[in-house]
Amino acid sequence: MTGPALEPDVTLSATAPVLEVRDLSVEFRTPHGTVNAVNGVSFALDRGETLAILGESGSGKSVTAQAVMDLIDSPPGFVTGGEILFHGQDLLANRHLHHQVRGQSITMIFQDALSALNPVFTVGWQIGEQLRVHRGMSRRDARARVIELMELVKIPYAAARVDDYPHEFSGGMRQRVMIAMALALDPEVLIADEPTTALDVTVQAQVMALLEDLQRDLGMSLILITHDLGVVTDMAHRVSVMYAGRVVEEGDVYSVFKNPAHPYTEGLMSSMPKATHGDQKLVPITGAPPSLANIPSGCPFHPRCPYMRPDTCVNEHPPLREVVAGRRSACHFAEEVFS
Amino acid sequence: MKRYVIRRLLQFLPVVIGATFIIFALVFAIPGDPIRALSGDRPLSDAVQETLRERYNLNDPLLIQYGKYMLGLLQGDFGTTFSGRPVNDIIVQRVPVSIRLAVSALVIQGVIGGLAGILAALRRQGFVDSLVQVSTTVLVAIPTLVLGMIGQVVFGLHLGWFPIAGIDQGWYSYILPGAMLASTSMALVARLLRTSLLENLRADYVRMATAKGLSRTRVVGRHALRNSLIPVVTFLGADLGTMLSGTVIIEGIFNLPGLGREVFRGIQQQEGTVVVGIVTLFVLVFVTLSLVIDLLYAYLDPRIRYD
Repeated sequence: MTGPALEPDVTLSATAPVLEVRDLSVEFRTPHGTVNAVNGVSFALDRGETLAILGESGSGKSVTAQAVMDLIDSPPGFVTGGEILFHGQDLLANRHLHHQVRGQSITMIFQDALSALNPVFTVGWQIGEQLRVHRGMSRRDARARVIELMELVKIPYAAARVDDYPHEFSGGMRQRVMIAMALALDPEVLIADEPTTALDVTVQAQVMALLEDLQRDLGMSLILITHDLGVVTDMAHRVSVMYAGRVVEEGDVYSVFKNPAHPYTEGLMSSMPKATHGDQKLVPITGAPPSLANIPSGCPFHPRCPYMRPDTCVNEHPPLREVVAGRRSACHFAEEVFS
Repeated sequence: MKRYVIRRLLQFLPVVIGATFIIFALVFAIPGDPIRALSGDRPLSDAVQETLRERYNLNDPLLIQYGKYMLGLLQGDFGTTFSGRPVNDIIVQRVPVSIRLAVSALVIQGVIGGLAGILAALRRQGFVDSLVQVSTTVLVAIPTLVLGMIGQVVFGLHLGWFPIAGIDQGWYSYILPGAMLASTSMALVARLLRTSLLENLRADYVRMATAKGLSRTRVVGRHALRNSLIPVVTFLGADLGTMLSGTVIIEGIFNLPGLGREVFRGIQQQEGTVVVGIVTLFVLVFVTLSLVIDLLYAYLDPRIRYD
């Protein structure tokens, strides 16, 4: 199945990103009107890098990931513009290539492993399915490789549990099964959509640690979609903050969180409790996230923004621009927020 | 699993005893004298009538009659008709016809109903979907009795595609009666599978299967369909009774010499032993098939464990 198109371009890959999304837009045409879920999102992912896409529910982060995986149900969902470049080739322009890449070079894990695993097949069958279908492995070879994969994601007694069904595993173990499934074909990019949201805190930490180890050991690139600032600081190299279907701030995690250049990021920071400051007062962001069917004019954050200036912010849409080297923000007054 | 099967088999006993007793009592309660009905216009002498009554235990009270019948049944004896013919012979002779009818109906209902349901779900709100929705509504609304007769007149008489009655043309003779017997269940299978498949196609595990890079055929055919069959199998289990009672009607309409027609005739002629014998057989078939369906259900859905 691996055509020449799938081979990474060696001359490019040294410098070019593995995956690059440019100006992506997705809308859902519902009977109640058009919902603009993603409005011109861009980001780039380098080899071996962990990029966090941070945002509230409804910020368009999951839809962006689904567009990369071509998982958007159409209708009602339509990708209305932009490019998704994998090693420089636009997947949106080449559906055949897109479907070859999906599941083999770019894989994805989901939030709720119980519903993402098929209840009527054993975990071994489900992990091995891709090996049999895409690699043409025999049942026996696939099974041996499945046990290796289950050991890789640290499922105890892998050889004994390979024939168990998903409901016979605990939540954390199910998430590991799904990770094993995503790793089966040695992907270059793994997209994790809220991978630990459904888990207990202690189990969350274990699964995150596992993902971090795997990412380092296997040299994958990881896109971590989350609303959890703690996860971002622990895991990611860079972060893209999304609001109302747009990237509003981007940069390396340390400097973004130390000194935000967008009022929304700043608001997120001050609404999160920090273990080190016992007497710190939490300041929530006022108002509620906008409806994607009715995004405010100008800067979509202006109704909630403490820096808002009536004329500029209400009427002019701020582009994502460089504030200092390696830091970009979509705020008219980014310098003011930053300093 | 083994313990579950044994427990279910033990449950057969009260079900079979209860069901047979009700049937026995109902036949017992049919007004009129079977011996007098047998003799027709020329009355038999009192002595002959008395001998016949004695032979068929008709003078005993209900419970004694039932007890004697069940003793025979335990030894595999379904009794004898008034003309002296063993009911066992009738059953052996009629069973193949009924089995062929049931198999034809099951195949038609599974294949056509199943395909219709799948196509309708995959092309939701398309032409096939609308066609399936409308035609299934019509089929469900018409009783088997009426539909059987319409089918016989239209496809047998006017179009001449299928034989009107009898089993002279082998399996071909069973297509029309099988389709008429299957019609209601076929429509329900189509609708159930459509709904169930539509629901499963939206499930997270289908999205995951797609994200694994599997083909649409595999995602639908292996992942979604397997889960969608679970409610269909449940329905088929509950629908067995409809199927059995349907054979009585359809065999009557198409004059198929099967068990159903024999029951029909037995009721008309007050042949208690024939009715009770065959219906007892129906009960046994029903409980056995219910058990098979339950086991199949556990196979289809591993989350169900009977122990």
